[in-house]
Amino acid sequence: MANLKKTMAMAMATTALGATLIAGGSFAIFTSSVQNTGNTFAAGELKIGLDKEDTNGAKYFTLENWAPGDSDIQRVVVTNKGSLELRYDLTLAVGGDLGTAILPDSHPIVIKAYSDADGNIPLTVTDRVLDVGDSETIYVKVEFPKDAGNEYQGKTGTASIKVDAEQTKNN
Amino acid sequence: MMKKKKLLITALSSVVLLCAAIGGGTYALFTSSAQNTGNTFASGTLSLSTHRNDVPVEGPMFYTNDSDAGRMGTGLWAPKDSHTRAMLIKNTGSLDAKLTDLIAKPEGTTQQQEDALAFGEQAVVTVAALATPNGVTLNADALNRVNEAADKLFKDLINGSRFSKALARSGQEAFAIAREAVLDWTYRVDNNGQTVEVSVSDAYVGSLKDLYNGGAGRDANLPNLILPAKKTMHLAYNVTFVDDAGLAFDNDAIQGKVVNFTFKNTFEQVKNN
Repeated sequence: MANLKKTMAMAMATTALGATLIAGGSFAIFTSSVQNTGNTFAAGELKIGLDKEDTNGAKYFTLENWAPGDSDIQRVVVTNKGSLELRYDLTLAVGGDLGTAILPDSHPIVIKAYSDADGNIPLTVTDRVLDVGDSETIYVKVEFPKDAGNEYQGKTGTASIKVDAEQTKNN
Repeated sequence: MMKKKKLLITALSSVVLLCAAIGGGTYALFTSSAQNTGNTFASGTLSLSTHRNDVPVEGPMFYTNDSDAGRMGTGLWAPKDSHTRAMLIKNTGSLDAKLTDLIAKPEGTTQQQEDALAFGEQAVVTVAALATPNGVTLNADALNRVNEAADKLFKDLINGSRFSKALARSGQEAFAIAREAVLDWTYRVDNNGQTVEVSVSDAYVGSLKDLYNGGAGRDANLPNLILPAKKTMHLAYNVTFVDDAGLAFDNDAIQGKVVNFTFKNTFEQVKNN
């Protein structure tokens, strides 16, 4: 019995030694390293702006007492305020009663973009490229068609002007 | 055993990386947007209300007998009868309006309409738009006096020999003469202690039948008749039953007939028009 105990203890001791040997197997090697610190990566900024934005509260159009045949054209300045070249899409929308076809054959307010102040040359509203720091002036015209009917009397409407930009580089 | 586990772990991380690569495939571009919303538009209104210079103010301008519906009955019409009524049209909208059409429409059955047009051929209608300096509004008393004075003018004019002789030659000539005389007319009336000179800003003279014109009416052709928003236009409507002496029609043909007309005034917006 005492012999068996001794044998067990011996066996355990041997296993432990073996384990130590395995675990400590990679200690005794010389090492060295070199490093290069201070590498910097600065991401550019993509930022588009309008001369009148929701954030500054100014509006392009506030029109009262409109009659069919009335129209208004406003200057809109789009600026690349970031540090990367961008291209943008212009999205124009009208809403409310005056911007909706009340009847199937109604003529609601229409909104369009032009490149000239007189509203003669239609503007391409997609993929407009702007260099860093550049601005361009476009003209947005809203028009209450002359053939708008009496269903539009005493109504209101809204318009929104939106620019969505993305980087041109690698894209 | 250890190697297998390591391999498995590597395989798993590759799968995760691949997933990330697929999911992020369209994210990695910078975007920016700016917008201006809430631009507002409000349309104006063009609406009118009318009333007559009678008590009550609602109802037809011309009717036969006095009753609770009106105190200015014409009585039965006979040749040379002439009556003037005021129609007051208020622009209750927010846009300026202009008179574009004057229409007199015969009412009733086909037979009644034929009778009405027979009467219309023998009746001359004068519509005069009266104006006051700076658009001063006349009180009821002053309005009635102006109407009486205008009535006298129209009566004398249409029943006068000059008009009758011209009418025998040509309707157009007679109507032009009468219109000139109406346009030249002015009348001074006391209005709340102030003397106001009423003038005629424009006028139409023609046969009542012509004012129907198959339902198209007469293009008012009166460029001066602009009714600004919130203002009231005073139209003096006169109908004179013309004596057939020397003329092609016969008064007797419409004896005992009762006819009905609707007087309609069409307005349009002034702006962009």
